[in-house]
Amino acid sequence: MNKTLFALATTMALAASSTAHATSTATLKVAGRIAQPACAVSFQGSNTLSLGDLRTDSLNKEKPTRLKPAYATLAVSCSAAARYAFTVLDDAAGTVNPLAVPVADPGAQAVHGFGLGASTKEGRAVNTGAYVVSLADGIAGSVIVHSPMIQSKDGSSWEVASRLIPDGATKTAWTASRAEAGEPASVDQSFVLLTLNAAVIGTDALDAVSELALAGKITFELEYL
Amino acid sequence: MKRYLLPALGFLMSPGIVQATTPQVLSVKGTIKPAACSMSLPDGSALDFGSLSPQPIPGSTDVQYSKTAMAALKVQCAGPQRFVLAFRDATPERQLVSPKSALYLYGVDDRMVDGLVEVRVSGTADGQPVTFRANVTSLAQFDDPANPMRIGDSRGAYTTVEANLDLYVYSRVRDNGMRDALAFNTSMGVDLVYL
Repeated sequence: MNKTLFALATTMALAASSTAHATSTATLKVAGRIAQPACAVSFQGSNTLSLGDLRTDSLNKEKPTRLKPAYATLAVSCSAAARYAFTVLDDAAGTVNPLAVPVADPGAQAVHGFGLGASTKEGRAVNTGAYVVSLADGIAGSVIVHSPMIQSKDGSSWEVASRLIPDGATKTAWTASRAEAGEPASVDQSFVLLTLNAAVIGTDALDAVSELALAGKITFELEYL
Repeated sequence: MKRYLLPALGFLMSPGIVQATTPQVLSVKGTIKPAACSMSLPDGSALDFGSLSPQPIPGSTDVQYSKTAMAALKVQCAGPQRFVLAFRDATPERQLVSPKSALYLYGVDDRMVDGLVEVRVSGTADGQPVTFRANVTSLAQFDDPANPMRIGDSRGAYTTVEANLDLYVYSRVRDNGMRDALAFNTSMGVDLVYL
């Protein structure tokens, strides 16, 4: 018993001594774990967009033909508010026909082109066309707010975006701000309408006597920021 | 204290970019289909040779009847197509030989006449003269799937083909074999076969 009292008194004495000799630095270790909210990415409706059945007589012979646009809505739903962005990868990137990109979307650049698959004519591979995916204003958060979509190469500097860039690296996010360069929003759900504008090259360059399949595929990956 | 706490929390909240979910795939599909073709006989589907007059055959007591006539055949496609023309005897119940390079003549009473009709084909494809070949000649082969009438080179795909069918009717009869006029008829079919 006496030993215990002595030990406690010693500890208090040491503490008092420490306070009396305080330095200008202190360290407080903080530990913990913040779980990432679970997010689900989906497309409203179908995961397949159809460009329809096209007859060669409805297509230009010597120049690309722009097709009717197709639409998809990308939705992200999380268990709690989170800051996220998505990247896109063109699984048919090797089949982009650069001649078709500006016809599919006159404002698009080569970096915006997605491939539509390849066919053969007289034994040679021919890239059938290309498409560009435009972004409408996004809807971020449970309170419906139409805001520009933004993009960033490095995750820190963001610019307003109007088209997807299928390089697998460019991040596209929703912003809750109407500002030109708003930061990615932290929200539990968000939507954006994707408009797919496609064009196929002139039928003179295609094997017009065979049925040709148009086949594109985009992989969307969601990332936390 | 606050100065050191915030960096520590920031590190914990931003462990780097982490994939949040299973990647989602959006597929884009469509089909480009060949244009369809239609075939027509601009001058009608009946060809009347009119009246044939007998011609003597030197050194023979037989006489021959012959005449040529032309019929137009047009193939119009909505876009370039590769196809051949397959000729067939449209009176199969009368077929004696198949395949053959001519149609046989028959009287109105279905009695066979000692005569035949040959068809040679020439014409243009998309405005340019092209060769028409069945086997090795421009002579149409009937009921011969192995030798349809090929147009141009083997890879040619055309939107418009205008074919001239030169029909040559020939009959040879013994001088005393036909006292009265004899009507004859035959018919042929042409099928467009896509390659």
